Amino acid sequence: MTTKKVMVVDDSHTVQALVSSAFANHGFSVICASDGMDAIEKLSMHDDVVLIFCDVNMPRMSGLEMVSEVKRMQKYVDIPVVMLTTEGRPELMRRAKEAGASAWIVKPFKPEQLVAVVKKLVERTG
Amino acid sequence: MSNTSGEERWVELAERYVLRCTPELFTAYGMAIEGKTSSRVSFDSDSLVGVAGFVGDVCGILSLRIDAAVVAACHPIQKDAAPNRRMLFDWTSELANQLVGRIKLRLGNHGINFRVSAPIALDGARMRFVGANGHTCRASFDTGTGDLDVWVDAELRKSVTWSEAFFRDDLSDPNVEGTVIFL
Repeated sequence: MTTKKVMVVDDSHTVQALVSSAFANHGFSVICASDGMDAIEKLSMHDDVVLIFCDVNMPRMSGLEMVSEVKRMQKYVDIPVVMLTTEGRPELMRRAKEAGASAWIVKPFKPEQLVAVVKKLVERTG
Repeated sequence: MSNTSGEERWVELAERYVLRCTPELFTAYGMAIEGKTSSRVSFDSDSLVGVAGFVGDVCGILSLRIDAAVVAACHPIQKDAAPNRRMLFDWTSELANQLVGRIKLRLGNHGINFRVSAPIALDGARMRFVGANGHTCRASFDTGTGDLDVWVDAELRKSVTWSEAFFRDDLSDPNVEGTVIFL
């Protein structure tokens, strides 16, 4: 059986590990990337990612830039992106929505919230 | 409208949100902390310092000096083995990032906006904090496991015209941390 893959894009290895541990017993494997450019590179190597968690403030390529880039590529357009960030201004949320993000979580988060979001959004998109 | 000057008001707001947001953040990671009367800060070999810079209506840095034992105790990945030094550094920078983010959200209510840099963590041994901008606020806390200190050293941009919200004290707290918002 193939496990579904979730990607986490965050320059903090602790946040990457926290997201990975959240999905350890839920039938998902987690691909980690450290910034937007790293994420786009890794997406090209894993064509079965079902959802992306993405920080906003990262070196090289920000989360909002990454969402715009990913959503421009036809093969990734249906992958839900959830922003996972310390930012919470409505203006940024509006820009994320326009870029194609599906949800926004302000850190700190509870691991079970991430699992619930994946189940909801992945089920919604089939 | 208050008679308080912009600079005095900025210091007042910075102090208020450091004192409010620091305990909130550490409580979210299972650590009760209490403010303590400021005393001499010990930068020793067990100190780690997370630093996040910001630029916008105010420009400066937030520094979080924290005992390594505290970082380990509130590390969100608790395993049989204690977190290694690299993990402690990473978590220290993320704590500084989350603290400045939490404060930024509250300051945004008052019309103060800025961008935050990628945070870094430093070894605190033999470090010393010297405020560069003259608008420094500092708060110290005790966790029972160890101490932590927060500094904000920042300067108001002179060209900014402050809105009424800058001086208001009756604004509701954004309180969005830990909630899922579907867009």
